[in-house]
Amino acid sequence: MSRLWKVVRTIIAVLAAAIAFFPIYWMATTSLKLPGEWSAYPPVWFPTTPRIENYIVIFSEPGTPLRESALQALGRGFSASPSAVPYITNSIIIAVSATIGAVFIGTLAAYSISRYRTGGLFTYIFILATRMFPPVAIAIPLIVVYSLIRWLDTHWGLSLIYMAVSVAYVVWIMKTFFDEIPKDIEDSAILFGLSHVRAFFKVVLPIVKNGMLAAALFTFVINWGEYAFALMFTVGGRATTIPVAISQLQLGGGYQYGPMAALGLIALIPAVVFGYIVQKYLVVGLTLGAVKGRR
Amino acid sequence: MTTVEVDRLVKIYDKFTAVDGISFTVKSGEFFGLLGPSGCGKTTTLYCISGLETPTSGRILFDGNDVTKLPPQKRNIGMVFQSYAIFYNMTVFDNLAYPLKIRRIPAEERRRKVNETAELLGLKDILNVKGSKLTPAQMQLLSLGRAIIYDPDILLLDEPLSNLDPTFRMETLRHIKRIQRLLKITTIFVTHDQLEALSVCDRLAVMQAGRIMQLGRPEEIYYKPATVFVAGFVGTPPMNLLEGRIENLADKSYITSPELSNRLLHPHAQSVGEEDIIWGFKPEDATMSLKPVETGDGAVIQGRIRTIERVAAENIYLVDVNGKTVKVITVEYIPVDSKVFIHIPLEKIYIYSRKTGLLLYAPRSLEKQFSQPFG
Amino acid sequence: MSSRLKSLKRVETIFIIPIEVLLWGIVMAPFVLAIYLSFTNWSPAVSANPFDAKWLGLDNYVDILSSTRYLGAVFRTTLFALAGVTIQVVLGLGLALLFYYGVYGRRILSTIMIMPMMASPLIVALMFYIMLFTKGPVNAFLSLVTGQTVEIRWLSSPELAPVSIILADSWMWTPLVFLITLSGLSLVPLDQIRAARIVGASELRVIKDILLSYIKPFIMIAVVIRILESFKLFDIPAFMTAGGPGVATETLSIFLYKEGFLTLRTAYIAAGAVVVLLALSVATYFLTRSIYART
Repeated sequence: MSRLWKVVRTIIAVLAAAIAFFPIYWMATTSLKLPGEWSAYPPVWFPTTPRIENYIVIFSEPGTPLRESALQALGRGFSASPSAVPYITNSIIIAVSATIGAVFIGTLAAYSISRYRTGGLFTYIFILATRMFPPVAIAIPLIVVYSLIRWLDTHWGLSLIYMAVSVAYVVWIMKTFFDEIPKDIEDSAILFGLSHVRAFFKVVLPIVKNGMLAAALFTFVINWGEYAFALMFTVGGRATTIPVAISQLQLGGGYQYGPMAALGLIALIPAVVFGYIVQKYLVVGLTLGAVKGRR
Repeated sequence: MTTVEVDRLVKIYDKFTAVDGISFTVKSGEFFGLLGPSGCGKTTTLYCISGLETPTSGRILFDGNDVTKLPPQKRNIGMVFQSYAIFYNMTVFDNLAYPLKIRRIPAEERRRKVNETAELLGLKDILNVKGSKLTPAQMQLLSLGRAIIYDPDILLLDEPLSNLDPTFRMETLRHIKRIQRLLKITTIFVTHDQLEALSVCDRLAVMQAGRIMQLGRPEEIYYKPATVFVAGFVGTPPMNLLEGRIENLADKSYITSPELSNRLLHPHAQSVGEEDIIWGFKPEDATMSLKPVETGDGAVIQGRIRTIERVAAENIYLVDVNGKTVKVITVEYIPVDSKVFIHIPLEKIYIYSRKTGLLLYAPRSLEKQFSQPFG
Repeated sequence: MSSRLKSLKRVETIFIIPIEVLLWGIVMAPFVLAIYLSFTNWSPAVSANPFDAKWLGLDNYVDILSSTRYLGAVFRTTLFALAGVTIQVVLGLGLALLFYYGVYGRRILSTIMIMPMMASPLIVALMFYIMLFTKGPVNAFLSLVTGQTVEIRWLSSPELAPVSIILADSWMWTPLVFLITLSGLSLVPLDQIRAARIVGASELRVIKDILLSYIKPFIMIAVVIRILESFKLFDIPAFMTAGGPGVATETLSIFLYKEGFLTLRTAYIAAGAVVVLLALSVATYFLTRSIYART
């Protein structure tokens, strides 16, 4: 009897998983379709002949033979689309640098707060609150400043913003991990003659490196997919990132679903992979605070 | 007043057989024990009786009704867990009232029953205390109260004393026994502590590796352990067991063993029928002295005292005999490291088969009154 | 001994400096600047120097707080946040219970189920965009299931566009609630559940009296995170419907973006931004404090 219930539950869970998976599936198959099939009705549920022309368009420059070969199947509408490779490069540079910065700064801060309650509750909440501000609200005055100091549309400028915006989660997660380490560990290292700073780097950090990895992957995923700030701060096109590029494919005349889907899938893969690796630590880091003090 | 019958119960988890086909019946109003070491299957058996687990095969019957497929909610049983499992967010009052609330008993009567039960268990003063703030002993009494407040047919107890401080165990056990006597409720009590089991149970089953080794009253278990395992498990400390052989020479039979100084003439050894045996004696049945005792029949073994453990007023001597440890209880004091002679009266020797572990011969003179602390 | 004290003091302050600099520079300074601007009539069209403007006192605030479009955006955003979170909690909790009681293929199914969470909002917007065409797969599926031609105009009708936004947002975030709740459930002591069953509690009662009371803090955390984050809703409505049709899906962020960037009424928008930031700060402070106090 309980077996029957398990089957029922499984069926519902399969339904939920199907709903979770279908949009990803649909985008993936769209990226393998030719223009005729993109908005075909009835829809092409399963492309029997997957085509890679969409990906070729993304990775090739206009005018090159590679591009020409793709255009034969896709049509001339794509002849002028720039290659997406610079966007991918931008995204990588900006997301990685922002992540490194955020993890470093955030971990230091988390340690300070965890051990010494530096700045009290107010500072901690202040840090977490920065995550709650709508990008547009901060961006408007910030753009004014950036344009004055000419940081607009630079990798460094955007990376710095990303650091500021994503450091909150790093602090939250890392604080939870630091809270779990007894103070005795640094104290004994200090007794051995190490300065506190060295004790921190040589003794404490190695213990939380898993937490740092999780925070890093999580932060990377957030920064990798960020749209609003990128949209507002890369108007010139030099530091344009993948999400903005995708939306421009939409706005830039004609509905280029195929290449959009291809670029989207490329953007999705690292996020899903990293996110999967990290999920266990995430939940621990985010919710451990609720567990303490319970039986 | 319900009888519980376990009929050829088998429970297999993946590849592991926890319960290997056991059967027994608990009489109405009986305090029945399941005793054995960790992993012997006693808790699994209890869980099958409670409905928290479903047997792989076999049946559970309450008063002749097959309840094997019935979910625990519908079995009308009370259960006390090793971890107390009280509802920590609720007060003592609400904990007790919970089963009654589920049964839609009106508030007025609920209050009456809660007060009654609290009175019975001495919880009246703490009715408004939150569960999480109780001491472990109080939690266990609350657990017991919650288990009986809705007048279940059967009471199941899963190692209720194991998580308590040793100081509180006896007292809690007294409460349990008192309640059981008062309510005359059929009770099954699981424990790994043989002292607990022997002191409160009307009958008990000793289990090992998913099987029942012996079933009977405490006296039977204590004075006539049916297998080598039971002999080595029951008793504080348990029986000393040594390997030996039976030799028949010219119409007389002897027990020989590396530890014995001489062949031991044993009038009943012949009837045993086997040659390879394990012979044993209880620590409290032997006497020990610095010089050999010259009384006629009886075994004599030599050894050197390794350590002495004091338990209450008794000394338990751990004697190194031929590389093995033999325990002897005596009130006299003999210093450590002394060479001693241990004398075991003939009539206190047990004989077991080395091959099957079964009891072959038990001493006849066992009409002693076995004293139960709760009389 | 005193040198150890000195060493301690240094670490605690040094470690907190980077994050303070970062956050005050990138987040708070613009906030302060926005406050200043909100009292002026400055616009980049007028002058490049923000300090060149005329003082207007509270005029901007009066204007914006009486703007129906602004108030509409606030109301709409709140609605989206509440509706979305409700769906996410109900579904997330339901799915968590399902998995808690056991399903076949738990590993695979839960891996698939948390995929949506990893995608960036823009990619989610893209996926739903290409799914919700009037002649798209969703409608095709509904037609199959109901036997009639279903031509729901998900993105182009003012009544349904908000629904589409909420659907996409919920699709993305339900897995987070699911994950957090499932972890909470795994911490419930089994014996309490067993004891409840023995005393006669039906399965529904067990869920209500035992499971739910244990996971309340977890759900609370998830709800607070989701509500606060929902106020920033931008990427999904921006890509899927550009805030339309009309203002049907114009969230606060989109309103500020459109007015601030497309009409360059910076000071006016700064007032709107300040109001939002102030409200969110207060809300965050009280909410976080209540969670912090409870754990």
